[in-house]
Amino acid sequence: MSRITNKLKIRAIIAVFIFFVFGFSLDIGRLFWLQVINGEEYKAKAEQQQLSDTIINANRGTIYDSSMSILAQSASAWLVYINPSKVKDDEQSELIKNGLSEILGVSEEKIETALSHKNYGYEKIKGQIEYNDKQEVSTFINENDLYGIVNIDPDTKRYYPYANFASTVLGFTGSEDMGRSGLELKYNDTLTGIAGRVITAKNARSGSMPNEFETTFDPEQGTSLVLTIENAIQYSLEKGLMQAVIDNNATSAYGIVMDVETGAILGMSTKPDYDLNLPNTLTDKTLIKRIEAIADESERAKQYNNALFALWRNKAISDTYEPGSVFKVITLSAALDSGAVTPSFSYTCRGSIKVAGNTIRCHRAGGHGTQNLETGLVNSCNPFFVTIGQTTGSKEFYKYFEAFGFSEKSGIDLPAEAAPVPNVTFYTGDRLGIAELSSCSFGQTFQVSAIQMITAVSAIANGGHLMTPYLVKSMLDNEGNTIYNAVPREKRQAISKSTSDTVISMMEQVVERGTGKNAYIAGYRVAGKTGTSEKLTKDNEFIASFVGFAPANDPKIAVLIVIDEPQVYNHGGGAIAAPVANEVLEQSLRYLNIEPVYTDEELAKLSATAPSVSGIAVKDAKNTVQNKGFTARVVGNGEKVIAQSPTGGSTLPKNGVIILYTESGKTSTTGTIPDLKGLSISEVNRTAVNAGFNIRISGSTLDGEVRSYRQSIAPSTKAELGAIITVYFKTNSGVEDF
Amino acid sequence: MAGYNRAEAYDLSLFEEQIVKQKIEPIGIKKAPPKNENKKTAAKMTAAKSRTNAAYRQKLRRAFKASVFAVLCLSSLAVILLSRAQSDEMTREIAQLENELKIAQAETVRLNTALNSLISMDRVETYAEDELGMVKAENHQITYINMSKGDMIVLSGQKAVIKKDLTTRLKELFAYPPQ
Repeated sequence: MSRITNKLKIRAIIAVFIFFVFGFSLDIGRLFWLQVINGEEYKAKAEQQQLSDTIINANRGTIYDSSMSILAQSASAWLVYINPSKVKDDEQSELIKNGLSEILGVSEEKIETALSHKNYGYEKIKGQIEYNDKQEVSTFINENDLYGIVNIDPDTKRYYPYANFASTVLGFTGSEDMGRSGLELKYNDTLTGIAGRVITAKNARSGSMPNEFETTFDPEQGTSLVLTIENAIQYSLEKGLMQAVIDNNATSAYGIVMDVETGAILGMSTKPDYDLNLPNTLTDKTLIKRIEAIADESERAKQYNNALFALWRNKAISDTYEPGSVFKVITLSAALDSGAVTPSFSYTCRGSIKVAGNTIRCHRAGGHGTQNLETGLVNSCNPFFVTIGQTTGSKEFYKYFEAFGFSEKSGIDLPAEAAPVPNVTFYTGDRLGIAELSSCSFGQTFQVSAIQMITAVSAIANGGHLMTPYLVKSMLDNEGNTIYNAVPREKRQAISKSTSDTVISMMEQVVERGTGKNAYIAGYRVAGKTGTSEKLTKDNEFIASFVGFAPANDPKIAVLIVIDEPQVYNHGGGAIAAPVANEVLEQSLRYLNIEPVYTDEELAKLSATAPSVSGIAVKDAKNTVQNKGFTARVVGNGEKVIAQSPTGGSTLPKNGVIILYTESGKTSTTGTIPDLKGLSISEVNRTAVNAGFNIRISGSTLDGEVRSYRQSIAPSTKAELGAIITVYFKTNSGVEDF
Repeated sequence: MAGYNRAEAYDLSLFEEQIVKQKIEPIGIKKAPPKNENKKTAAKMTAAKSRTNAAYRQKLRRAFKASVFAVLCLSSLAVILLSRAQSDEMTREIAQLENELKIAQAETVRLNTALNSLISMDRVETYAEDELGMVKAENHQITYINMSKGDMIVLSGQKAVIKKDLTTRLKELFAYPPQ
């Protein structure tokens, strides 16, 4: 009986076992399917549903100039967006439109358009909002119970403290803090950094769970850049270029200052330009008026965009131009280095030269007569250089054309550098026929970029080494540690040291007595070359340029100034570009603490320092002033000098006037600033002194034929007697090169 | 047991009543336990009582231990919960402070930008020239000092020796006031 029971039991157990196994096998199989076969897929879905993933934006790296002044920096900001699908009714819609428009300064039409997209849950209203505005929006949301309808998200904003300073070099960022032009674009990956994340578990109501489930991946901040740009040099370059555009009513002007030994860019600018904080805003009122006058809306938008693109363009690297006579220094270097000519080579210019049936004229009607190499360069004689080019030959000429880097990009670390196109922007060796060779010899019928030109001239200045120009000096991590230092890179030796020395001495003569006189700076030896070229793409439009470096005996910096389409009668490079180079070079050399060394002749012309005579008797004061070579003018009847203008220590030309005030209450007398334009130095000094003012001479003082062309205080302005007016001088005589 | 006929569905013999012989005590006068039995019983009762007390005390000890253990467990749980709550609170505080820091940093950048734009080279130069009537120094007014020799160390107690030429010495000799 028990045996039977056991058997029954066993059978029952087996039956149950089979039942359970069969029953659960389905579940087990299903589990296997879910967890093993499709495990990854469901895991991903679960993570998506159960985990909250918040991105922590990394701060974009900062951009500094050479002396660690901040040129570009990012900070946290906020973004306001609306959820149109949750808007209850028109009343709420109107409330949102009016409220946000008032707080954020966004047009009501834009908000209305966003609100009309009822099927959408996200419509951006405005980004890069600062804290104060964000607080106002928060208050607006709280007061009007607009949670979930009007929302605020984190954002970032890029600040450029100096507005349009180095604008075409720095570039700007667009949405999501991504670089769109300039260094911001070129080094976008370096500056961006890596975003962090905070992963938390979500409960059923999508709220975050306690921090046990939280994992944080810290963001990796972007790398910062330290540029080679020198603040003071960049500023003087920008100021000079802007003034050149105004003075000459030019379309644009651009320039570069380069360290000749390393290729480091100390300054680069294009004018007119734009405010980096408002890259999508035009400020030229005339241009805006012209665009707004266009009837067709799409055409108006297109013209507006074209105008913006023109402002953003870094012409110093992106535009090509006919170099004109500036290129003659390259032709000369090629001829000397190849041995085709020697310094004693001579040619007689009779005013023109025939090449392949065409006549190439000299800018001097009767010709320059017999010239050697130096004189030919000083006179910038076209027939002379046609002969030089032909003597050198196409093969050698092209060899040096390539050696100086004109057939390739310079390699500067900026985007959108113009790429030379063979037989479009320049002639290859096999296409250099006699006519092409002749015109290329004096810088016409081909195009180069400004960065190529200054890099090549720097090679002449530094003993023949063609360097790769660069802007980024070093990179810093988020703790300020240097993680990269730029090393100057030499591309090749373009010419020999001896050729370089010879050409430098000739270029110095161009400034001493040739077309580059307006680049002369007392106390410094400046070498340079002027250029005036006719534009191939536009009739009767010119480009005036000057390239120079200093000190010629030990070159440190090179400057290239290009003025595009000047609308003045004297539009030569010597007349309008060299004076700009003069100002930039003078400021730059002083900033770099390069001491001037004056010749005796220069010393004699230097201005004197006003003596300090306050507090002494009028008679003694007058004697002191006159002994120093100045004129004294007494105001009042007192016995002692109680104040003077200009103050002791000021510089003014010899024979300047010092006003001596002898009565209290009469320590300032005003006069009217005279018009000092178009006068010689002595005439300016005399006119100013007679009116009771003093002058400070700026610009070229080399030539006795220099004339004033600008003054720092406008004529007819009221100013204190004794005030010093800075007067700029240049010569238009003997500087023509076209 | 009756034989089990496998052909039948049930073995009915299994359901036959089993006569269990029981010992039946006659009903009568209950006999008093012997005297010795009373003593034994009392002793037994005392012992039983003792055992009961001991058992009780043991139970009490066990209950006490269990209570202590429970209290400890609850306390630990409470401590854990409290620390978690504090941790959560501190995390929230940290998050809030980090947010405030981010806002302060953003404001610092904004204000520094505004400050830098106010003291840009352009503004400084314009103010110096237009408002203060200043002009740039001439190049010849700047004195350059050659520092290329590098730093020097002068030990204390040593007199600096300055070489003077004859002209300088004579000027000092006849200078008024005396030097």
